[in-house]
Amino acid sequence: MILLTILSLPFMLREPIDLPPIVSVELIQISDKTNIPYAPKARKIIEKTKKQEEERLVSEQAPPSAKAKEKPDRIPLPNEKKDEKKIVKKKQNPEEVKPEIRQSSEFEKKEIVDTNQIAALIDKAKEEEAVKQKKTDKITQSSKKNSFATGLTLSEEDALRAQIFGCWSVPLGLPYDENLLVRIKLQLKKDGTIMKSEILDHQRMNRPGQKFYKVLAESALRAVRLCQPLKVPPTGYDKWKEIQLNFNPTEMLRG
Amino acid sequence: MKNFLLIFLLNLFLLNKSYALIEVDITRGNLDPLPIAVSPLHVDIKSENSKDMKIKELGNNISEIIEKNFRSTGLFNPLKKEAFVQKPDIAHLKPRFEDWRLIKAQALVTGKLLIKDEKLKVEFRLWDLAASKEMTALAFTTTPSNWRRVAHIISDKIYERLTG
Repeated sequence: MILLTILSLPFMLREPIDLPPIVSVELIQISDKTNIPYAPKARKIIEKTKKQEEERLVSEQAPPSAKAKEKPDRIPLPNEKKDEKKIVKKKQNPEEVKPEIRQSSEFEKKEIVDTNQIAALIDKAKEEEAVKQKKTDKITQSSKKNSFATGLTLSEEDALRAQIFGCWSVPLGLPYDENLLVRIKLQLKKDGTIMKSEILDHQRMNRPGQKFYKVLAESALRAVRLCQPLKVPPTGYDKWKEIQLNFNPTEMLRG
Repeated sequence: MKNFLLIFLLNLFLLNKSYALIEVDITRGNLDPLPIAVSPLHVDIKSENSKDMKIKELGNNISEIIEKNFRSTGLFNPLKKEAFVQKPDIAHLKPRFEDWRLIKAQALVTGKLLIKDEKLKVEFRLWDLAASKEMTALAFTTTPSNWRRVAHIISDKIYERLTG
C-alpha cells in the first residue's frame, strides 16, 4: 500500500499541473469576447451544479454594461448565494484553486491568496477582480507566465535583485573563464531578515585551486547579510520563506 | 487499510500545498573598492622598551603601511581612523561587529605588538564584519628592525585572503 502511495503520488501530482493552463486559456478567450470576467466563472459553477442553469445563463448573456445591474439582482437571493459559496468551498482543494489564482492579475493576486481560505470573501474578491481585470486585461495575460515560473512577480523580483546589486561588492581579479556560480539558499522570516543561509556548493570552497570561489561565496554571503532585511513582498510568506539566490558575476567580469 | 488511505490523502494535500523554490539570479554587483578598516596595532603592556625604537609609534607605522598597500591596489578603500568606533586593544580581542558595520566597513584588521627578549612579535586578525567572524589570524616573530617587512607580509596575507 505504501509502495502504491509512493508510486502513485507523482502521477497524482503531475496531472493537476498540466491542467491549469488549459482552463485558464479558455477563460481568457471568453473574457476577451464578453469582457466580463465574472461571467465565465459563473458559467463554470453552473455547469458543475446543473441546478441554476437558467438563471445563470441569463446573467451570462447580459451585455457588459448590465454588469452593474447584476449585483443588486443577486443580493436579494440569499439561497442562490449560499449555494454558490458551498460550491466554492468544495473547490478549496488547492489543485483547483491554483488556476484561479494564476489567471488573476498580479495586483490583486495577493488579496486573493489571503482570502482564498475564507469562502465568504470570495465573492467580494471576484467582484474586485472583475473591475480590475477590465483595466489590466492585457497585463494579466503577459505577466501570467512569470507568475507561473517563479511565484514572485517581476517587480517584486526586480526590487529584491536591485537591493542585492547594491550590497554585493564583487571581489575583483576573479578568473572569468571558470564557472563562478554561487548558489545560496536562504530561509527568511516574515520581515525579510535571514533565519538561515546556506551555500549549496560549499564543498567546492575548500578544494585546492578554488580559493577564488571561497572568496566569491563569502562576498555573496556578506552581500545578503548586509542587505538585511530583504525587500520581500508583504504577503505570500509561504512562497518566499525559502529562496535561492544565484550569484553569477561572469557576465559582469567579461564587460 | 483505512489508515493508509488517510495517509495517502493527507500526503496528497500536503504535497500540493508546497511551492516550487523561488530562484533569483544576481548577475550584477558593486565594483567599488571594498571598505576596510585597519585599526592601529596596539602595544602589549608586557613589552620592554627598546633603546633605539619608539615602540608606541611602531603600531601606527605598521598599520599605515598596510593601509597604503591596500589603497594602492585599488581594490580596497581603507577608512579614516577618525571614524573608528573601538579602541585597538579591545577590538583585537573581540570587535563589536554591529558598531563597525555602522561605519560601512566590511572587513576589519586588528593587531598586537610585543617586544620581549629583543624579539618583535606581531600578531594580526582579519575579521569579516558581515558574518561576525574571524577570517584569518597569524603571528610573526622577528628582530625589531624588521618591522617594515612584517607589515608588508601582513598586507600580502590579507590581500590573498580577501581576493583569493
